[in-house]
Amino acid sequence: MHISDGVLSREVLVATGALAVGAVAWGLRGLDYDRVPRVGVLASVFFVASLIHVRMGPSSVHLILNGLLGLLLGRAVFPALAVALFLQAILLGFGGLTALGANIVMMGAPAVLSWAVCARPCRRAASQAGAFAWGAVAGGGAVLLSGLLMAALLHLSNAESYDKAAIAVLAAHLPVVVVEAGVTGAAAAFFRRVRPELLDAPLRPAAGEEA
Amino acid sequence: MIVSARVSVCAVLVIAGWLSCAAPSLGHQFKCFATAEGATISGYAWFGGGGRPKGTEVRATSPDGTVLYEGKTNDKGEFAFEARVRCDHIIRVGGGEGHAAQFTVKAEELPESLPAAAGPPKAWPGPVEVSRADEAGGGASVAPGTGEALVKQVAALRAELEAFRSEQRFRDVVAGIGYILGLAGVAFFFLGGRRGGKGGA
Repeated sequence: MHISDGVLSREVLVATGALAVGAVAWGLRGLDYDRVPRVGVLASVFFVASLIHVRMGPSSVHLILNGLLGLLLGRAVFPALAVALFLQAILLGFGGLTALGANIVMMGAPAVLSWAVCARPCRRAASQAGAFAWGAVAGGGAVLLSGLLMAALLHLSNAESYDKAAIAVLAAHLPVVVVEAGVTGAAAAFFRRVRPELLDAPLRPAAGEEA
Repeated sequence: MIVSARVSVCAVLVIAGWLSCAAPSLGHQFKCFATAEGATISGYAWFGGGGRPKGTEVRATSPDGTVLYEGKTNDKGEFAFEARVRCDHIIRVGGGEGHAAQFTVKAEELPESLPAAAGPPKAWPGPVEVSRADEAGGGASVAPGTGEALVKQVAALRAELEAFRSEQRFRDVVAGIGYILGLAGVAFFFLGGRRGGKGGA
Protein backbone atom coordinates (compact mmCIF):
# COMPACT_ATOMS: atom_id res chain seq x y z
CA MET A 1 0.00 0.00 0.00
CA HIS A 2 2.98 2.29 -0.03
CA ILE A 3 2.63 5.06 -2.57
CA SER A 4 5.63 5.49 -4.84
CA ASP A 5 7.26 8.56 -6.29
CA GLY A 6 5.70 10.17 -9.32
CA VAL A 7 2.17 9.01 -8.62
CA LEU A 8 0.54 11.78 -6.67
CA SER A 9 0.06 15.29 -7.93
CA ARG A 10 2.17 18.10 -6.60
CA GLU A 11 -0.62 19.70 -4.62
CA VAL A 12 -1.44 16.47 -2.85
CA LEU A 13 2.22 15.88 -2.08
CA VAL A 14 2.71 19.34 -0.62
CA ALA A 15 -0.46 19.20 1.42
CA THR A 16 0.21 15.76 2.85
CA GLY A 17 3.84 16.70 3.42
CA ALA A 18 2.82 19.66 5.54
CA LEU A 19 0.29 17.54 7.40
CA ALA A 20 2.92 14.91 8.06
CA VAL A 21 5.40 17.41 9.45
CA GLY A 22 2.76 18.72 11.82
CA ALA A 23 1.67 15.24 12.81
CA VAL A 24 5.21 14.06 13.53
CA ALA A 25 5.89 17.17 15.61
CA TRP A 26 2.69 16.53 17.51
CA GLY A 27 3.66 12.92 18.01
CA LEU A 28 7.13 13.82 19.24
CA ARG A 29 5.66 15.98 21.95
CA GLY A 30 3.94 12.92 23.31
CA LEU A 31 7.18 10.97 23.39
CA ASP A 32 8.43 10.29 26.85
CA TYR A 33 11.68 8.76 28.05
CA ASP A 34 9.92 5.61 29.21
CA ARG A 35 8.21 5.11 25.91
CA VAL A 36 11.26 5.29 23.69
CA PRO A 37 12.03 1.55 23.75
CA ARG A 38 8.47 0.72 22.85
CA VAL A 39 8.50 3.19 19.98
CA GLY A 40 11.78 1.79 18.71
CA VAL A 41 10.67 -1.82 18.91
CA LEU A 42 7.34 -1.16 17.20
CA ALA A 43 8.99 0.92 14.50
CA SER A 44 11.24 -2.06 13.82
CA VAL A 45 8.23 -4.37 13.73
CA PHE A 46 6.51 -2.14 11.21
CA PHE A 47 9.70 -1.93 9.17
CA VAL A 48 9.99 -5.68 8.95
CA ALA A 49 6.28 -6.40 8.58
CA SER A 50 6.19 -5.05 5.07
CA LEU A 51 8.52 -7.84 4.05
CA ILE A 52 5.90 -10.46 4.83
CA HIS A 53 4.26 -10.82 1.47
CA VAL A 54 1.08 -12.69 0.73
CA ARG A 55 0.42 -13.63 -2.88
CA MET A 56 -2.87 -12.20 -4.01
CA GLY A 57 -3.60 -13.03 -7.61
CA PRO A 58 -1.31 -11.13 -9.97
CA SER A 59 0.35 -9.05 -7.30
CA SER A 60 1.18 -9.52 -3.67
CA VAL A 61 0.22 -7.55 -0.61
CA HIS A 62 1.99 -7.21 2.67
CA LEU A 63 1.10 -6.70 6.29
CA ILE A 64 0.87 -3.11 7.43
CA LEU A 65 0.29 -3.35 11.20
CA ASN A 66 -0.51 0.32 11.57
CA GLY A 67 -3.52 -0.59 13.74
CA LEU A 68 -1.32 -2.42 16.19
CA LEU A 69 1.15 0.44 16.24
CA GLY A 70 -1.56 2.98 16.84
CA LEU A 71 -3.09 0.93 19.61
CA LEU A 72 0.19 0.66 21.45
CA LEU A 73 1.76 4.03 20.73
CA GLY A 74 -1.01 6.57 20.55
CA ARG A 75 0.17 9.74 18.93
CA ALA A 76 3.79 8.61 19.04
CA VAL A 77 2.88 6.45 16.06
CA PHE A 78 3.70 9.37 13.75
CA PRO A 79 7.42 9.62 14.52
CA ALA A 80 7.67 5.83 14.53
CA LEU A 81 6.04 5.62 11.12
CA ALA A 82 8.09 8.52 9.80
CA VAL A 83 11.35 6.79 10.68
CA ALA A 84 10.28 3.34 9.52
CA LEU A 85 8.78 4.59 6.25
CA PHE A 86 11.84 6.69 5.52
CA LEU A 87 14.11 3.70 6.04
CA GLN A 88 11.86 1.49 3.95
CA ALA A 89 12.02 3.99 1.12
CA ILE A 90 15.78 4.30 1.28
CA LEU A 91 16.85 0.76 2.05
CA LEU A 92 14.11 -1.40 0.64
CA GLY A 93 12.69 0.77 -2.09
CA PHE A 94 9.17 0.65 -0.66
CA GLY A 95 7.33 3.84 -1.33
CA GLY A 96 8.85 7.01 -2.64
CA LEU A 97 10.73 9.68 -0.75
CA THR A 98 8.66 12.54 -2.11
CA ALA A 99 5.56 10.57 -1.18
CA LEU A 100 6.84 10.09 2.38
CA GLY A 101 4.46 12.67 3.80
CA ALA A 102 1.52 11.09 2.03
CA ASN A 103 2.46 7.64 3.30
CA ILE A 104 2.88 8.89 6.85
CA VAL A 105 -0.52 10.55 6.84
CA MET A 106 -2.15 7.63 5.04
CA MET A 107 -0.98 5.08 7.57
CA GLY A 108 -0.67 7.22 10.65
CA ALA A 109 -4.03 8.95 10.74
CA PRO A 110 -6.03 5.71 10.85
CA ALA A 111 -3.60 4.41 13.46
CA VAL A 112 -4.23 7.33 15.76
CA LEU A 113 -7.94 7.02 15.12
CA SER A 114 -7.78 3.36 16.14
CA TRP A 115 -6.09 4.37 19.32
CA ALA A 116 -8.59 7.09 20.08
CA VAL A 117 -11.55 4.81 19.53
CA CYS A 118 -10.38 1.40 20.65
CA ALA A 119 -7.57 1.68 23.16
CA ARG A 120 -9.59 2.48 26.26
CA PRO A 121 -12.44 0.04 25.60
CA CYS A 122 -9.89 -2.61 24.81
CA ARG A 123 -8.13 -2.17 28.10
CA ARG A 124 -11.36 -1.99 30.04
CA ALA A 125 -12.90 -4.94 28.22
CA ALA A 126 -14.67 -7.34 30.51
CA SER A 127 -13.17 -10.43 28.91
CA GLN A 128 -10.44 -11.63 26.60
CA ALA A 129 -12.98 -11.94 23.84
CA GLY A 130 -13.92 -8.32 24.30
CA ALA A 131 -10.31 -7.26 24.11
CA PHE A 132 -9.86 -9.37 20.99
CA ALA A 133 -12.89 -7.77 19.40
CA TRP A 134 -11.71 -4.22 20.06
CA GLY A 135 -8.24 -5.10 18.87
CA ALA A 136 -9.68 -6.59 15.71
CA VAL A 137 -11.67 -3.43 15.09
CA ALA A 138 -8.54 -1.37 15.60
CA GLY A 139 -6.42 -3.50 13.29
CA GLY A 140 -8.89 -4.17 10.52
CA GLY A 141 -10.32 -0.69 10.69
CA ALA A 142 -6.92 0.93 10.41
CA VAL A 143 -6.07 -1.00 7.26
CA LEU A 144 -9.44 -0.30 5.76
CA LEU A 145 -9.19 3.41 6.49
CA SER A 146 -5.66 3.49 5.11
CA GLY A 147 -6.90 1.92 1.92
CA LEU A 148 -9.70 4.45 1.64
CA LEU A 149 -7.30 7.30 2.33
CA MET A 150 -5.00 5.99 -0.36
CA ALA A 151 -7.87 5.81 -2.79
CA ALA A 152 -8.84 9.35 -1.85
CA LEU A 153 -5.30 10.63 -2.41
CA LEU A 154 -5.12 8.90 -5.76
CA HIS A 155 -8.50 10.26 -6.72
CA LEU A 156 -7.49 13.78 -5.77
CA SER A 157 -4.34 13.48 -7.83
CA ASN A 158 -5.71 12.21 -11.08
CA ALA A 159 -9.16 10.69 -10.95
CA GLU A 160 -9.38 9.31 -14.49
CA SER A 161 -6.10 7.48 -14.41
CA TYR A 162 -6.12 6.23 -10.88
CA ASP A 163 -9.63 5.36 -9.85
CA LYS A 164 -9.55 1.89 -11.34
CA ALA A 165 -6.15 1.16 -9.84
CA ALA A 166 -7.33 2.43 -6.47
CA ILE A 167 -10.29 0.08 -6.47
CA ALA A 168 -8.06 -2.82 -7.47
CA VAL A 169 -5.64 -2.10 -4.64
CA LEU A 170 -8.50 -1.80 -2.16
CA ALA A 171 -9.91 -5.12 -3.25
CA ALA A 172 -6.52 -6.77 -3.02
CA HIS A 173 -6.16 -5.55 0.54
CA LEU A 174 -9.44 -6.92 1.85
CA PRO A 175 -7.74 -10.17 2.92
CA VAL A 176 -5.11 -8.06 4.67
CA VAL A 177 -7.92 -6.36 6.59
CA VAL A 178 -9.06 -9.74 7.84
CA VAL A 179 -5.58 -10.98 8.67
CA GLU A 180 -4.63 -7.83 10.51
CA ALA A 181 -7.89 -7.79 12.42
CA GLY A 182 -6.96 -11.25 13.67
CA VAL A 183 -3.36 -10.36 14.45
CA THR A 184 -4.20 -7.13 16.23
CA GLY A 185 -7.04 -8.74 18.14
CA ALA A 186 -4.79 -11.54 19.34
CA ALA A 187 -2.09 -9.07 20.35
CA ALA A 188 -4.62 -6.90 22.17
CA ALA A 189 -6.00 -9.86 24.09
CA PHE A 190 -2.48 -10.92 24.98
CA PHE A 191 -1.52 -7.48 26.24
CA ARG A 192 -4.73 -7.16 28.20
CA ARG A 193 -3.77 -10.24 30.12
CA VAL A 194 -0.09 -9.52 30.52
CA ARG A 195 0.39 -5.75 30.48
CA PRO A 196 -2.88 -3.88 30.35
CA GLU A 197 -1.25 -0.49 30.83
CA LEU A 198 0.30 -0.82 27.38
CA LEU A 199 -3.08 -0.54 25.76
CA ASP A 200 -4.03 2.78 27.15
CA ALA A 201 -0.81 4.68 26.79
CA PRO A 202 -1.44 8.08 28.31
CA LEU A 203 0.30 10.95 26.65
CA ARG A 204 2.50 11.35 29.66
CA PRO A 205 2.63 8.71 32.35
CA ALA A 206 0.81 9.85 35.44
CA ALA A 207 2.88 10.10 38.59
CA GLY A 208 3.58 6.67 39.93
CA GLU A 209 2.32 4.78 36.87
CA GLU A 210 4.80 3.28 34.46
CA ALA A 211 4.15 3.60 30.75
CA MET B 1 7.82 -3.58 27.26
CA ILE B 2 10.46 -1.54 29.06
CA VAL B 3 13.85 -3.13 28.75
CA SER B 4 16.59 -1.84 30.96
CA ALA B 5 19.18 0.21 29.15
CA ARG B 6 21.99 -2.15 30.06
CA VAL B 7 20.20 -5.22 28.72
CA SER B 8 19.29 -3.58 25.48
CA VAL B 9 22.81 -2.29 24.90
CA CYS B 10 24.23 -5.75 25.55
CA ALA B 11 21.70 -7.34 23.25
CA VAL B 12 22.48 -4.91 20.47
CA LEU B 13 26.22 -5.46 20.83
CA VAL B 14 25.85 -9.23 20.79
CA ILE B 15 23.65 -9.17 17.74
CA ALA B 16 25.90 -6.70 15.94
CA GLY B 17 28.96 -8.77 16.71
CA TRP B 18 27.35 -11.97 15.51
CA LEU B 19 26.06 -10.42 12.32
CA SER B 20 29.34 -8.75 11.45
CA CYS B 21 31.05 -12.12 11.62
CA ALA B 22 28.65 -13.36 9.02
CA ALA B 23 29.25 -10.57 6.56
CA PRO B 24 32.48 -11.10 4.63
CA SER B 25 34.49 -7.96 4.18
CA LEU B 26 34.87 -6.91 0.60
CA GLY B 27 38.63 -6.75 0.51
CA HIS B 28 39.06 -10.42 1.34
CA GLN B 29 36.49 -11.70 -1.08
CA PHE B 30 37.66 -14.05 -3.76
CA LYS B 31 35.12 -15.17 -6.27
CA CYS B 32 34.84 -16.91 -9.57
CA PHE B 33 32.28 -17.33 -12.27
CA ALA B 34 32.06 -19.68 -15.22
CA THR B 35 29.69 -20.42 -18.07
CA ALA B 36 29.37 -23.06 -20.71
CA GLU B 37 29.32 -22.31 -24.42
CA GLY B 38 28.66 -25.55 -26.16
CA ALA B 39 30.97 -27.94 -24.39
CA THR B 40 33.56 -25.32 -23.54
CA ILE B 41 33.48 -24.16 -19.95
CA SER B 42 35.19 -20.82 -19.51
CA GLY B 43 35.36 -18.42 -16.64
CA TYR B 44 37.51 -16.21 -14.51
CA ALA B 45 38.27 -15.44 -10.90
CA TRP B 46 38.65 -12.09 -9.22
CA PHE B 47 39.33 -10.46 -5.91
CA GLY B 48 36.62 -8.44 -4.24
CA GLY B 49 38.85 -5.43 -3.92
CA GLY B 50 39.94 -5.64 -7.57
CA GLY B 51 42.56 -7.63 -9.38
CA ARG B 52 42.75 -11.07 -10.91
CA PRO B 53 44.74 -14.09 -9.80
CA LYS B 54 47.52 -15.09 -12.20
CA GLY B 55 48.66 -18.64 -12.62
CA THR B 56 46.44 -19.95 -9.87
CA GLU B 57 45.40 -23.54 -9.91
CA VAL B 58 41.94 -24.39 -11.17
CA ARG B 59 40.26 -27.69 -10.58
CA ALA B 60 36.90 -28.96 -11.74
CA THR B 61 35.28 -31.93 -10.04
CA SER B 62 32.02 -33.74 -10.49
CA PRO B 63 29.61 -33.96 -7.56
CA ASP B 64 30.91 -37.39 -6.63
CA GLY B 65 34.47 -36.11 -6.40
CA THR B 66 35.88 -37.27 -9.72
CA VAL B 67 38.39 -34.72 -10.92
CA LEU B 68 37.43 -33.56 -14.38
CA TYR B 69 40.06 -30.92 -15.07
CA GLU B 70 43.14 -29.42 -13.52
CA GLY B 71 44.88 -26.36 -14.82
CA LYS B 72 45.88 -22.79 -14.10
CA THR B 73 44.47 -19.32 -14.65
CA ASN B 74 46.14 -17.14 -17.21
CA ASP B 75 47.44 -13.64 -16.64
CA LYS B 76 43.92 -12.27 -16.64
CA GLY B 77 42.63 -14.79 -14.14
CA GLU B 78 40.76 -16.67 -16.84
CA PHE B 79 40.48 -20.35 -17.55
CA ALA B 80 38.74 -22.57 -20.06
CA PHE B 81 38.47 -26.24 -20.86
CA GLU B 82 36.35 -28.72 -22.74
CA ALA B 83 33.75 -30.56 -20.73
CA ARG B 84 33.60 -34.23 -21.56
CA VAL B 85 30.78 -35.34 -19.34
CA ARG B 86 27.33 -33.85 -18.84
CA CYS B 87 27.35 -33.41 -15.10
CA ASP B 88 27.68 -30.57 -12.62
CA HIS B 89 31.18 -29.16 -12.78
CA ILE B 90 32.26 -27.81 -9.43
CA ILE B 91 35.03 -25.42 -10.27
CA ARG B 92 37.43 -24.42 -7.57
CA VAL B 93 40.05 -21.76 -8.00
CA GLY B 94 42.60 -21.74 -5.25
CA GLY B 95 43.88 -18.23 -4.64
CA GLY B 96 47.07 -17.69 -2.72
CA GLU B 97 47.10 -17.32 1.07
CA GLY B 98 44.29 -19.72 1.63
CA HIS B 99 41.74 -18.03 -0.58
CA ALA B 100 39.53 -20.29 -2.63
CA ALA B 101 36.59 -19.52 -4.84
CA GLN B 102 34.03 -21.98 -6.03
CA PHE B 103 31.42 -21.95 -8.74
CA THR B 104 29.27 -24.70 -10.13
CA VAL B 105 28.40 -25.01 -13.78
CA LYS B 106 25.21 -27.01 -13.89
CA ALA B 107 24.83 -30.05 -16.07
CA GLU B 108 21.85 -28.44 -17.80
CA GLU B 109 24.09 -25.74 -19.25
CA LEU B 110 26.14 -28.36 -21.11
CA PRO B 111 25.04 -29.81 -24.44
CA GLU B 112 23.04 -32.97 -24.35
CA SER B 113 25.42 -34.67 -26.75
CA LEU B 114 27.88 -35.31 -23.95
CA PRO B 115 27.76 -38.64 -22.12
CA ALA B 116 25.96 -38.53 -18.82
CA ALA B 117 28.60 -39.94 -16.53
CA ALA B 118 32.00 -41.41 -16.99
CA GLY B 119 34.97 -42.58 -15.04
CA PRO B 120 37.92 -40.27 -14.63
CA PRO B 121 39.22 -39.15 -18.01
CA LYS B 122 42.38 -40.80 -19.21
CA ALA B 123 44.00 -37.47 -19.88
CA TRP B 124 42.96 -34.00 -18.86
CA PRO B 125 41.29 -32.08 -21.63
CA GLY B 126 43.80 -29.54 -22.79
CA PRO B 127 43.13 -25.94 -21.82
CA VAL B 128 41.20 -24.20 -24.52
CA GLU B 129 42.39 -20.85 -25.71
CA VAL B 130 40.19 -18.22 -24.23
CA SER B 131 38.70 -16.29 -27.11
CA ARG B 132 38.21 -12.64 -26.41
CA ALA B 133 35.57 -11.31 -28.70
CA ASP B 134 36.18 -7.72 -27.69
CA GLU B 135 39.84 -8.02 -28.52
CA ALA B 136 38.84 -8.87 -32.07
CA GLY B 137 37.04 -5.55 -32.19
CA GLY B 138 33.45 -6.37 -31.33
CA GLY B 139 32.08 -9.86 -31.59
CA ALA B 140 29.21 -8.92 -33.80
CA SER B 141 28.92 -12.25 -35.55
CA VAL B 142 27.35 -14.88 -33.37
CA ALA B 143 28.34 -18.39 -34.23
CA PRO B 144 25.41 -20.68 -35.00
CA GLY B 145 24.22 -22.67 -32.04
CA THR B 146 25.25 -20.11 -29.45
CA GLY B 147 21.78 -18.56 -29.20
CA GLU B 148 20.74 -21.39 -26.96
CA ALA B 149 23.88 -21.13 -24.92
CA LEU B 150 23.17 -17.44 -24.45
CA VAL B 151 19.72 -18.17 -23.14
CA LYS B 152 21.14 -20.60 -20.64
CA GLN B 153 23.77 -18.15 -19.54
CA VAL B 154 21.20 -15.45 -19.04
CA ALA B 155 19.09 -17.83 -17.01
CA ALA B 156 22.06 -18.67 -14.82
CA LEU B 157 22.84 -14.99 -14.41
CA ARG B 158 19.29 -14.25 -13.45
CA ALA B 159 19.33 -16.91 -10.79
CA GLU B 160 22.52 -15.49 -9.37
CA LEU B 161 21.07 -12.00 -9.44
CA GLU B 162 18.06 -13.16 -7.49
CA ALA B 163 20.23 -14.77 -4.87
CA PHE B 164 22.22 -11.57 -4.62
CA ARG B 165 19.09 -9.50 -4.31
CA SER B 166 17.75 -11.52 -1.42
CA GLU B 167 21.10 -11.38 0.33
CA GLN B 168 21.13 -7.63 -0.17
CA ARG B 169 17.62 -7.32 1.13
CA PHE B 170 18.53 -9.15 4.32
CA ARG B 171 21.41 -6.76 4.88
CA ASP B 172 19.14 -3.80 4.28
CA VAL B 173 16.71 -5.06 6.89
CA VAL B 174 19.47 -5.40 9.43
CA ALA B 175 20.69 -1.92 8.53
CA GLY B 176 17.22 -0.46 8.98
CA ILE B 177 16.77 -2.02 12.37
CA GLY B 178 20.17 -0.71 13.35
CA TYR B 179 19.19 2.81 12.36
CA ILE B 180 15.96 2.58 14.32
CA LEU B 181 17.76 1.39 17.42
CA GLY B 182 20.33 4.13 16.99
CA LEU B 183 17.65 6.78 16.74
CA ALA B 184 16.00 5.36 19.83
CA GLY B 185 19.33 5.80 21.58
CA VAL B 186 19.53 9.40 20.44
CA ALA B 187 16.00 9.95 21.70
CA PHE B 188 17.01 8.49 25.04
CA PHE B 189 19.88 10.93 25.19
CA PHE B 190 17.75 13.95 24.47
CA LEU B 191 14.88 12.93 26.68
CA GLY B 192 17.06 11.88 29.56
CA GLY B 193 17.62 15.48 30.48
CA ARG B 194 13.92 16.06 30.94
CA ARG B 195 13.77 13.52 33.68
CA GLY B 196 15.98 15.76 35.74
CA GLY B 197 18.86 13.33 35.99
CA LYS B 198 16.74 10.54 37.46
CA GLY B 199 17.85 7.10 36.38
CA GLY B 200 20.92 8.00 34.35
CA ALA B 201 22.24 5.33 31.99
